[in-house]
Amino acid sequence: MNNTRFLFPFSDKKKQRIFSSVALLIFTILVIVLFLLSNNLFNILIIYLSTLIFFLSIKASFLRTIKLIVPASVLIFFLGIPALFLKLGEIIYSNSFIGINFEIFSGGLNRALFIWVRGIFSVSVITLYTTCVTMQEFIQSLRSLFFPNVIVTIILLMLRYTPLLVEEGENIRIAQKMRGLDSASRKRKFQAAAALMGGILIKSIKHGTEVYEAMVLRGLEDNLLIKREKITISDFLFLIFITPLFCLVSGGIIQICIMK
Amino acid sequence: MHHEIVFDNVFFEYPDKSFALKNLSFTINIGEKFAICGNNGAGKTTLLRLLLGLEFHQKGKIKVQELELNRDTVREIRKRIGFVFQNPDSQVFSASVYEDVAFGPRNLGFSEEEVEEKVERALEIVDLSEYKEHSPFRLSFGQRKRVAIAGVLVMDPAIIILDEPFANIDYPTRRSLQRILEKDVIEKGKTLIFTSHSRLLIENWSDNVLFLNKGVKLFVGSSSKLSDFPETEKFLGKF
Repeated sequence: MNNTRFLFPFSDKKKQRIFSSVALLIFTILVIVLFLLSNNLFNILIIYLSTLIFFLSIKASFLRTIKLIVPASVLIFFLGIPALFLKLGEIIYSNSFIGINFEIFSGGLNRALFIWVRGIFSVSVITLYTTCVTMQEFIQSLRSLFFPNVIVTIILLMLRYTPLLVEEGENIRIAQKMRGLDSASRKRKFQAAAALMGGILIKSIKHGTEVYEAMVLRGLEDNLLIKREKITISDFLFLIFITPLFCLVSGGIIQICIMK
Repeated sequence: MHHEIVFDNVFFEYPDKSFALKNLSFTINIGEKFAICGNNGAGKTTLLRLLLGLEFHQKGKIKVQELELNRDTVREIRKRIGFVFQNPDSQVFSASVYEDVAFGPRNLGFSEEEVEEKVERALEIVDLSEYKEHSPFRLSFGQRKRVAIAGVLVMDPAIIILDEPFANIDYPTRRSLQRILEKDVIEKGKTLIFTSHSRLLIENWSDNVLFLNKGVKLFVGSSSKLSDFPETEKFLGKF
């Protein structure tokens, strides 16, 4: 049993909930859309906190969410760095390093902050959602929202095999370290990193071929057949009443805070 | 006598000429436990790939239940054969145990009621009924292997092929898998083909054995006569 075998910390067992996983997925997508539409960092924070409270009320695991956010934040941080150097607004920082001038503009910093906050909060909300549902519920929910079979299959295989490749990459890295990579020259380390990437690529091709062959041998001829999750009346009620109410409440909190 | 599988002077060479199976002839009878053994690189996997129609031989004939294997018949032949990969992670990919076992029957076009009935029965055989809602990736290696076997048993093939079925598996799990295969494959008159490096397993568990080395048949016959074969000790070691 290995938790690193998952890209997201899906729930182990189906939980008893009032709302189905489809309704929760629509809600999650809606919150991410709100993050993207909102042009105020404070609004985004309020929406996130309201969402967090909602998910915690339906027994989402915040601890498991944090575990995923930490490594994801590093990636999101790097994604936001190019925006830092956009020449928008006034210069707020300037320095030169090995003859190259680094200037940070207020507008660039603002853009980078939005990327970081939106990115981290979006990953956090998706992770909170996944801790409430099983992987099977998530996959079936995507089908219920009329995602094409082929896309859902790609998502399923990606969720399944990316962590497996990461784990194999980790094993290669440990094997390299055990054979003295730590004390090797920079050039050797670079070569080892290239070998690691090559190894992962070859393994991914091998895995992909095997998985495809296994599917063919079990009768796959066209598309994977993934069942749709049933949408119940309570889901419609949730989407019609609770979601707008959520938007109103979080919007109201924002208004009150602004008036103060 | 009708043979389940016939290899008649089969020749296969990879396009880069890196490896070849040379003029291989042997037969497998209905309802027998047939072992394929040999060193790494002997040609066991290539032989299985030919039998499954994942590669096509260049000379000779392969017949499965009297049907000659070629590009036109490969789909029909695949319906008669179930294959369990050595690594269950290559085979088990769905998000729940139930969905993974149901993958094959759904592809064959069974109704959802029939699929449910077949899956329940297959999970009962491999003793995983209580795990049907679980994600297979949270199960142990042995349990994932059982999911893979259930995924094949559910399709009710006449021939079941297992690639290194007991590799990386502890003794109790191996015994339980052997019992499952004895009960649901052998006792039902199905043919079981497996590859192995273990002399103990081959001599104690198989009826007949094919011994390969570098793509050439060294020995084929009863596993009880394997110890009389002079090369056995060299390739499979002593008891």
